[in-house]
Amino acid sequence: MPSPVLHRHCHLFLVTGRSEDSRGLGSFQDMARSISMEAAGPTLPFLILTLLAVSAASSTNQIQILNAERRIDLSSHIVKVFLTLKVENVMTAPASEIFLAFPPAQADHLALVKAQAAIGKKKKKSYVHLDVNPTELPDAPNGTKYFSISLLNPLSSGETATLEVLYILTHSLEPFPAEISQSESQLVYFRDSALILSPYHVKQQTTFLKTPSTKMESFTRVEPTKFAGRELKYGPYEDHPPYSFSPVIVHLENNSPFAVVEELLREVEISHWGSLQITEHYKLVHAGARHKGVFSRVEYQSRPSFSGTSSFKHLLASLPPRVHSVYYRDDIGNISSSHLRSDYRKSELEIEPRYPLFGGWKATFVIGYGLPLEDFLFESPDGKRYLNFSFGCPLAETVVDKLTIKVGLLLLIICIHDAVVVLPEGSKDPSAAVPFPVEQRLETKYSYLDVVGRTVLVLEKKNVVPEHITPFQVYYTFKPIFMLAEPLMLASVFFLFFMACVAYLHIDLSIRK
Amino acid sequence: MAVTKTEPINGSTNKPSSSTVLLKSDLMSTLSLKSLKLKTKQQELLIRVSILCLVYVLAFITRLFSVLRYESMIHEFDPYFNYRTTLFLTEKGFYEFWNWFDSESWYPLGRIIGGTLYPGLMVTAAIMYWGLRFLRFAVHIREVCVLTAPFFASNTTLVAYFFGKEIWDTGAGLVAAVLIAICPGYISRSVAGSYDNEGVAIFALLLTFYLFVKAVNTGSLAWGLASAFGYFYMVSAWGGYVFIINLIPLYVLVLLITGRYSMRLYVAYNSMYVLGMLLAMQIRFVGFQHVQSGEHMAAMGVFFLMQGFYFLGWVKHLLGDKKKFEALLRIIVTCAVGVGAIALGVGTASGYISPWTGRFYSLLDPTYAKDHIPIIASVSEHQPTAWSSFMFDFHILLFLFPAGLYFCFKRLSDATIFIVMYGLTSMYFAGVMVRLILVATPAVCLISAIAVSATIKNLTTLLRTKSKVSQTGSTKGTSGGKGSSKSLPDQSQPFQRNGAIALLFGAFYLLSRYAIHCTWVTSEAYSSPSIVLAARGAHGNRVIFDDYREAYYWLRQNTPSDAKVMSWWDYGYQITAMGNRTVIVDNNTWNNTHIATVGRAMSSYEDEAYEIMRSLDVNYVLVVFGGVTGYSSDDINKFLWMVRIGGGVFPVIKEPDYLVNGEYRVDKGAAPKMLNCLMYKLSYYRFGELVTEYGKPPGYDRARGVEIGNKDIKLEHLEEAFTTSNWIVRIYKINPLRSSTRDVSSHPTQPPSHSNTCFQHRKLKLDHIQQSCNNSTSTTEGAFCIMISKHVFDYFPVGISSSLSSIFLKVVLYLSVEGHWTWRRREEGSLLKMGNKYYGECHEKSIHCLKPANKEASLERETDNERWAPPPQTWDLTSSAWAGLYFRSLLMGSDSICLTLQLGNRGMGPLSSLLKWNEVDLPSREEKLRNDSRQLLSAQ
Repeated sequence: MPSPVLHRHCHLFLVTGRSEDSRGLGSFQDMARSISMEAAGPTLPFLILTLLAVSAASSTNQIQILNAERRIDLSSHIVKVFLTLKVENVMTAPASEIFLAFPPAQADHLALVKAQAAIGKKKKKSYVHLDVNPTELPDAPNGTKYFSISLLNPLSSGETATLEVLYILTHSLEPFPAEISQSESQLVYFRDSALILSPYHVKQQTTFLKTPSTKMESFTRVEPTKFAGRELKYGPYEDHPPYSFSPVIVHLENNSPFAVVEELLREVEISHWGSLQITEHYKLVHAGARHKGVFSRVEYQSRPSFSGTSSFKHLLASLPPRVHSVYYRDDIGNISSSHLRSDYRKSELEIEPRYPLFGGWKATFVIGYGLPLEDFLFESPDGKRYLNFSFGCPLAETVVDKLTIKVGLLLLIICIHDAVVVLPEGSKDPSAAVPFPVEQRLETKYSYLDVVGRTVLVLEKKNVVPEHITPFQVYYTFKPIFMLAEPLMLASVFFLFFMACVAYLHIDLSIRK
Repeated sequence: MAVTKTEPINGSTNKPSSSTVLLKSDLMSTLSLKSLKLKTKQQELLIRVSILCLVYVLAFITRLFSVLRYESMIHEFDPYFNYRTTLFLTEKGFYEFWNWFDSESWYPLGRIIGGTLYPGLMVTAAIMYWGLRFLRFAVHIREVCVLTAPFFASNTTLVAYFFGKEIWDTGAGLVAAVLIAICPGYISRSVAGSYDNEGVAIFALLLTFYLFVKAVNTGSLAWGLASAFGYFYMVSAWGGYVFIINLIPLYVLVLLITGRYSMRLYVAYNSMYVLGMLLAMQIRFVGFQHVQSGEHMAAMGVFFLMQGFYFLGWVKHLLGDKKKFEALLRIIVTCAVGVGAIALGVGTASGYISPWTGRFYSLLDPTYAKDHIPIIASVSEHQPTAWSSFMFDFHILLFLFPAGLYFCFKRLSDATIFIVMYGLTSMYFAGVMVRLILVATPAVCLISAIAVSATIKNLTTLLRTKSKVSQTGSTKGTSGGKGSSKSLPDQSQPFQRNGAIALLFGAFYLLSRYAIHCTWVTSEAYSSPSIVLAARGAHGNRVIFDDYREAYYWLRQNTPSDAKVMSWWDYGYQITAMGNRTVIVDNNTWNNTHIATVGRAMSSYEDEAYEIMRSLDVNYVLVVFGGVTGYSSDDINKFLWMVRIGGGVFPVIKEPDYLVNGEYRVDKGAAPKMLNCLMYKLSYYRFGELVTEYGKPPGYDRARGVEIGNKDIKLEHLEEAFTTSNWIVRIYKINPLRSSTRDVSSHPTQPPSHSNTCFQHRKLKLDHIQQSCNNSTSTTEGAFCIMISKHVFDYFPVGISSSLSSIFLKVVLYLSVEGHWTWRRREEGSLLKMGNKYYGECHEKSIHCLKPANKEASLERETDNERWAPPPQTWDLTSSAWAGLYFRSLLMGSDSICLTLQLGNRGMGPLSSLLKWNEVDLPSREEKLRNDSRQLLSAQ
């Protein structure tokens, strides 16, 4: 029973709330905290923390949520949350923004928030992508973080709209026990609130948790709660005021591979002679429960279903089609255990680290491949060239803590989530268009026969999930004459060499005649 | 031929033409004649150059089998050390490299890398790397290292060409270049990835010899100096330089005796020796050996002899009287011999000239190592050579060699005498030790090339003269005097022409067999990296066992960065280079005791082994096991050597305990000690549960083809940390927490009660240092601090110019470090160099070590079955570790240096075992004596 943990958790939350309070931030007029025990579960502390911020200027009162349904997918170590909100404008002024609220602990692990609105009736339903941006609200209680969804058409009085939100949390499953032996399976805690944290009044809400297996150690009950099959259901709950919060802890079995790339450096090197060379440096770690004690190969080989269930030995990388000269190696040489399958739509590279990864074990390696340039480099109408390449980590089901892409020019290098784009020598004015915020900077790199050095555009992003695999563009100008610089240089060197030889043969340097 | 034919045709055609035509054609004929004549010369040059270019390329590409079949990687064991040092050199620069104290190997002693290796190879690779980088070639240093040996092999072919040209003619040179380009004896050491000293050294060796012969032939000072530089490069690259410094004096001596003394020889030898010696002294590892070691005395003796010879010639010239001169000669010779003998005797007695080392003995007597030095005998390349390996490495050269010798004797000159001597001596050494085939290869190739070239030349001349004889009438002017003289015996033997054709075909057949054989050997035998194993699968597909790298990479990624790994010494270099972890022993086998300690741990029961490992601060044990895959060079098969080497120092370990009726077995009939020793347990832990082959019981060892005898193995103090996918490498973690079941309080390895311990008696007893140590405030357990105060430098005379004092420093350092920094296993040239006292070649009366090695091992033994105390030999570990620090501090040149060995992070670790030993065994009388004598020396 995780009740002591729960107590501590709640306590911490209250303390942070108080400290916010004492700083006197915001224009609260009243703050209500109500702690009530649920009749159905007397041993279970059920806590609702309600922070009511009544402000005349606040826009949070003008909206109320008629119905909220949240589906949390816990089947891998990347927690995906699908939120369906039916919102209504109860005030007279039209509302153009809807706010989403996240507790600070969750906001740190938030990799991605996407929203879309449903348009049309049931049969002809279509979805429109909406912009989501992090914002600050003046009266944020307890350090709550906000994201605002900009609606396409402002919501006029009394009108309703249905929004679908997807957000992804990483590093949100805490292994407990933190160390397991080879024969044990991995159990994790998932902490959240049974009630959706929202700056709005919520009329009705339900939360579903999808677990990876039917095995569940324990979960907090907030009646009505139901666990059946692989689904845990909280709710429906009726009529909760803004900022209602009811912490729950779910302790469940999750043996999916916790593959985390601590650092990924992708180098995209553009050669205008017709190829795109990509080099990806990985620092992979198994971020699940740490492996403890013995690693027995005989157990691992003979009883694969009971031994090391949370470990993993394969990873799948999906690469673009028409990939060639693929290599997979590390500091001490080639790693022979990889397979490449490719067809005209995509290429799949199955890689196997040198050893199976148990909790806490690390592996670093490099994947490199070449791609035909014409699939990725285009010329924009204004005469600039642009590279259209996908952001993110090609490994399936992995979280990348820090990605850098480097793009280099003639030889242009692009670096994303630590990707580097190396542009060719002689390229100028690179700029990147990425659909989400990234850090950018420029570097210089010297490759074969470079005199001036190649411009490298570096894009950096933290906390990258597979959903970030979207195309991005790098624009730059380049004069084709620079392509000839290196061949000409080589030719002239050889010419001079032969000239020197000829000259040497025709000159008599001896003193005696 | 073309020229000879066109000439008369031109001459005959201009007859019937008119005058104008005649004039014109005359002009044309002279023009065409001129251009054609030039063309033949050019053609010959062109053919020669293009053959040489092709040979150059061939020598390179024939060594690339392993790169194409596996990958661009470093092979074997020693090359990993060379690679690691090269990496360090390119990253940190030359000065850091020169002063590098490596704490990752020989824990807890460490190793002064810069002073204990031949830097030639690393510097060569680094210079190539920097050069390529400067030219903007973005290569990785690994590629440079992998391709260094093939590149130098290509260069060797060029040298072989010039050498052959020098001793015979251009034809012999070309044949020599081709032969050496693909000779398996050389390829075995120079395939891509075999990044070892020999790769560069054979080039340097041949270059030195070539330049010296050139100097002797021309009498030119420039060539003599060039050969001195070649010698310097050789000294910097390989211990095999000793061969040069003994062969050349021997050659000179032979020339003197045979009356071939000349001014040319005088100039060549003196310039080469004096400059070469001075240059060689600049290599730190070699130091003053040219004037101190018995092995280099021959060169010096010949040098003086030459001066004497010259002097006598002068005196003879002055006196002009034969009788007077003979009398004088008698006196001088007696005096010289007497003075030389006295000098040698005094030098040897005082220890100034070190006596011959075990290496020398083992070269003279192939069985020496087997009886006296098990650690050398345990290395397969040090075994006497079998006939099959001669055949394998030389193929047809083996019988072309005597033929070549015959030709050489037929046309005796200074140069051919040299190549004959080189060939004969190196062939003898090649017979003593397998690896020395490498040194013999260039000589064998050159002499065989002479045989091939001379034979083919003779045969073709026969053919050509025959054909010319038939058309004598038309070609009067052109058939040379050589042809006409040879045509006389032709007519007496009518079948000679056919015989010559048959012989030519035979020669070509043999040569083509040679080429096929060489390619086959290179591809099958010498191109396996040995770190990646390949086998044929059930369906004929290639299966790769990459277990070594799997284990090393696991160590690198998943163990604490200061973990110490114990394994048999074969894997030491690989673990430090690929696993990046500290090892207890490695392939530089300079300290036999340390290796014996590991051997002892491996062959003891687990309890005892645990104590040894605890005292060595070991965290992980790595064993290599081939029972699952049938890989036969695993630790169980090497185990008897561990027992022997361990038993050589610790008589507790007795070889018969592990044998049953003289038989080595691992099945049920094995000796009980064998079934329960650490190595057996670690290799076969939980192996009894595994079915390795269909139709065989579980626990069937495929490498030895038996079912193992002990299937129920329990480990008490160790736990399995990692086993690779094919079980080839198994790593165990040593349990640090569980206390020993024995009475702890009485145990000698109990940590000392107070931690502010410094080295007390054990090392050079410089009182000042001791005082500063006692005053030092460092109290953390294990961390210790040595203040080298200014007083140490008071010993050095003040006011001497800086260069002189640096030489003085060198002497002191040499003396203080001497005896400890000894030998790398494959540094063939000087196995057991500076008198490693544990090997037994240390002279009993030498002050550098008071006792001979093997006796020392048994004299003051404090070990038995009950308890383990540090053996007396390990006492020296402290002083040698100290010497390392001392050395380093001197190099840094500051007068007060505090060297703190930190816990964790790449430092040397706690050194607790050293301190414990220091506590437990007080220094004995002998040791004090020795330390005192050392102090005396350093105080002088």
